[in-house]
Amino acid sequence: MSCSEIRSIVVELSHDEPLEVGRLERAQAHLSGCEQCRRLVASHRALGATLADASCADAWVSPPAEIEQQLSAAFREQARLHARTSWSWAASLAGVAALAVFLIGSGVSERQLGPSAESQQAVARVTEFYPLAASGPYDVLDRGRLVRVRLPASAAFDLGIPTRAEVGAAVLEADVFLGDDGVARAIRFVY
Amino acid sequence: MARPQPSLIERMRSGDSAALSEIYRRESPAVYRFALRMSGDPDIASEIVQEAFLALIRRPEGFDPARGALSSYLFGSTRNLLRGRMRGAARTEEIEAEYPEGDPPESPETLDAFEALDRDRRVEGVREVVLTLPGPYREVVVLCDLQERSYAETAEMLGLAVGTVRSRLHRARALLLRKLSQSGAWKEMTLQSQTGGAR
Repeated sequence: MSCSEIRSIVVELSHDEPLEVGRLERAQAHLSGCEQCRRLVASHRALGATLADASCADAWVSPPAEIEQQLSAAFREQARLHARTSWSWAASLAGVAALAVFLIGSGVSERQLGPSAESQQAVARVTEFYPLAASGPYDVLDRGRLVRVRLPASAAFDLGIPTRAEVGAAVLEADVFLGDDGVARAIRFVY
Repeated sequence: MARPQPSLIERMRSGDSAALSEIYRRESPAVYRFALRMSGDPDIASEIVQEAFLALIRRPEGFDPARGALSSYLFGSTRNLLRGRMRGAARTEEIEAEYPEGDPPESPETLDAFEALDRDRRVEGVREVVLTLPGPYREVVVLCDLQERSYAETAEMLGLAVGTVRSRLHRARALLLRKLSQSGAWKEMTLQSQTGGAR
């Protein structure tokens, strides 16, 4: 075995790792006659021992305790936000269901207009459009139908939509923007 | 027949804070030590542990048990976070050119003086030199030597073949020895030990 071969297996030799049959014997035969390679193996053994000492010393190293506290606080906040979001979606779904009931039961007027075009006709009498979270992202460029409905003021609250003081009636009029797929995308109130 | 118990990560996803605590206590020490020995900076290591676990809290669906253990996932996050802060990895190509594959750098003939140092100083000296290794070599030394993980575990964590881990470790150790023998701090410590200045 040559010095170069010893260098290629020095890690295995210094850590007493298993070698192929016969290879260890050949390495030992070389080492017995080569001072330089013996020193090389000894250097690697010394390094391995020091790394093992470093590993033992590290066994007690832990992150600062305050990190766990901060993470727990972040987790609680995340859970709180998640619960609020879930509630908001549930409320929106309930609102959309209520709208559907009114659409069926209260007689609606329907126009084939997008919300932005419609707003030019009645800008002084309506609120802005509020997206309905349960129906996905709302885009003013979406095509669809505008449907005027009447609904109880409490439905606006359920939807999480603020209503103006002057609207303050028990029953509100509103324009619901329905996408081409028939899903309510947004709502605005008429006063 | 009893229903299988939900895993810790499933419990955490459903809002169980005790599950998060258990995951953190189980996984964070190794993640922190990895970040610490890779960066050499306790503040950076703390920040990285925090960021890795925050990512798990905010996006638990990012961990897919079918693709590996949670510890491997957290190590992957930690490596990505560290990568942005480490410059050593950029030197890999330079090192590869300097020491082509299959031709590890020659080690010094002896570390007698180094061995004469007391344990704490040797450990300190090795830790300092580990920090000067290029990132890919540092990773295998930290995982295989400082965390005493098997080649197979290290390979899974780093997404490498076992043979690659083995050859990197070979080269990393040879580099470590060379750097130790050239390290100014080590020479100073050696001189102190020879003149009786060492503890």
